[in-house]
Amino acid sequence: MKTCAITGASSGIGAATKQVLQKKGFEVFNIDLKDGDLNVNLATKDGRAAAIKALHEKYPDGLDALICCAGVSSGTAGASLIAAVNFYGATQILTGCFDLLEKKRGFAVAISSNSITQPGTPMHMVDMFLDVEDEDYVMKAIGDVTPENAHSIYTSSKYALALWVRRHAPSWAAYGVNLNAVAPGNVETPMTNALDEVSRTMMSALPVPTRYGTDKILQPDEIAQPVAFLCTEEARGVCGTVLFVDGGNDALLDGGRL
Amino acid sequence: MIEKYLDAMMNGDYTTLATLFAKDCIIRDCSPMLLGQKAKTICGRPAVDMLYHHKFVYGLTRAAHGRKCSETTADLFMIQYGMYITSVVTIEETDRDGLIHRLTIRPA
Repeated sequence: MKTCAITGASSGIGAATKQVLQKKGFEVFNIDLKDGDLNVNLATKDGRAAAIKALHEKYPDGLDALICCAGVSSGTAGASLIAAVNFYGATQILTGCFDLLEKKRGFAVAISSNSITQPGTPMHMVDMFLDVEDEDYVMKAIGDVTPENAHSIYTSSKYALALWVRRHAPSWAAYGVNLNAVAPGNVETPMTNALDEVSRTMMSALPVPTRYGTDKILQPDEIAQPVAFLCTEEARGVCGTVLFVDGGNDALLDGGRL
Repeated sequence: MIEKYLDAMMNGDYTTLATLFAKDCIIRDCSPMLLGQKAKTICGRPAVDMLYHHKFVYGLTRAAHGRKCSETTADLFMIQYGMYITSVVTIEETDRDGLIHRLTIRPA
């Protein structure tokens, strides 16, 4: 039986992905803040270390897939938590479990966001996430970000995660591990359901072409299916991609570039 | 190690070049900024092998002259995309096997 570890599979996209993979015959191990097979706080270094240790103990022969889905938004979390979970919570789990994936020529997927192409993403923050390796230093700098600007940390953390995937994917592939990112659009999840009124109003103004004529957004399963695909041999030729799964939103808003 | 690096670069020997680096190495190359391009980051030994293979064979990058300045730094005079660039190369960190873990190329 193939094995897959997912962070953030207690709800939303992660939970939907878990279901899809289980139907495909995967054994899925959920790492989340609560209701997981392992409950840890990925915002902390200790939490990430505990997750990595647990995965090594449970899957000493390797992992077929690893999906980093755990994330928080600016509608529900402050800048520091966003940075800690969305960027470090993903990259450190991926790095820490690379050896497990290598054993099985596995697949890794990081969940980014289609908001990364929105104008105004602070690229200096993206560079800081990527190039300043001192997490404590970066977190101290982010501590000065006001709550009103927390969304900028959300987009920069997700952008940095996507670039991190692209940077590491070629070498990982040389060692037999396919690494990709998925950039979902707005999805009906506990995270988006918990947004404040202003955030919800803004979200509703982002068109979803595949939902044209309705006020509906994507369902978790619409993201889960492509994520699960990226964890199968059928996706072996896909490497270092940031797959936008947003119902056509990015193509509509910025179709003039690739 | 800096001498081996310079030799590999001067000879366009991407295979040997890659063997000097640790499996999880990082090269931060800021020299493209002199050409108005963004700095590039290369992660992992295979990426070093593949990227420099591409650069050398396509003639995108050629080391014209290198000079060791210390055990960890060197001046490197390169031709990139037809333009002459002077850079300072620094081995920032090696791993316990003596392989380069982190290398930075800064415009001089």
